Amino acid sequence: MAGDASLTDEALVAAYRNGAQWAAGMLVERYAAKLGRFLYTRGAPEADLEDLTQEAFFKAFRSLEGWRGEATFRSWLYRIALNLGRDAWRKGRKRTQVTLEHEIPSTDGNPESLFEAQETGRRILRELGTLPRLQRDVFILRAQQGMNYAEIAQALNTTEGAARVHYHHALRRLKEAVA
Amino acid sequence: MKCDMKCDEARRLMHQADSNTALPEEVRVGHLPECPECAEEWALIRGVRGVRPQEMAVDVQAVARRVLLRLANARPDTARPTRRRMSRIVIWATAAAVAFGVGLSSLRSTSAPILPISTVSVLPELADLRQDELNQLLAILPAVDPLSQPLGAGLSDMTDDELQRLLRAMEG
Ligand SMILES: [Zn+2]
Repeated sequence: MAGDASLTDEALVAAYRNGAQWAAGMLVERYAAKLGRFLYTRGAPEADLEDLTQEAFFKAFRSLEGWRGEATFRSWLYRIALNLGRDAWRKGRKRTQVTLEHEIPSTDGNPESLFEAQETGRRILRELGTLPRLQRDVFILRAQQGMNYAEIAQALNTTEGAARVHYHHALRRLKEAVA
Repeated sequence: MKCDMKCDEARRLMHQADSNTALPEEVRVGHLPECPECAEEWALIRGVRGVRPQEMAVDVQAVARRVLLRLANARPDTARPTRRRMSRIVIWATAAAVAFGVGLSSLRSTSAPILPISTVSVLPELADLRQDELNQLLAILPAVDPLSQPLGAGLSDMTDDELQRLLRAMEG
């Protein structure tokens, strides 16, 4: 039961609220690596990632009382993480680590395109730092984290329509800079 | 090759593609070569997904352990057990032990047991205890046959079900 990956976030949150600690553990396992990656891409220094991730989960679980389920657990978690990370962003400006996401298939499988993707990643990272905050956050949440616009709107306390607009502005800017 | 797929559908599939869902052929070899707009977007999606910290920058298991520990320790009024609080625990533990002892001897000697100290009053205190405090309390409590069997070595090994049975038994 505890290892059942088919349990929804909502079911796990309900189980945790009823005293099942393992449910909190499963949610951490489900999102910790992704959240760490988001925070890193967003600008947090590598050395702070684990602490920030831990703090975000702790605060998210502790504040579940105020969560009425109108947002998904993931958007609630990311919203808390974004608030936590404000100081961290300033410290984490200089990083260059870009590793090709091996599970995303290359367009043609040759090493040259792997290199290109890494190079694109570096340039994206640089360019993301120049985007307005909402454009940057929306782009990362959509393109890297795979969130839909409804979740993004919840995480960033904006509207779905605004999130779409920010994504397309960010996309245009990045295409100009990176292409 | 003529592609009939619309850009909206191609984008939906591109954003959906992850470790579980690879980018479908129809997008990869059908749409992208025909549509520079989507091809550029896919390059950006792949690029930003390639941005990641060093492996183990976030040790997921360690984060899970620490979060659970902090949650267990973070009772509203119990950041750290004070001396006063610990002595209160000992008083309650003694009360509980007495209640158990008297209760059991009453059960053995009469069909209408009378408990001079209500074990029920101990329960709200128990709910506020941290794991290590509960362990201390359990160490003080006398071994009670109906409970000691399923309890095993100690509270830290208990399942939620076992803990609930313990609390129900204390309620009588
Ligand atoms: Zn297209």
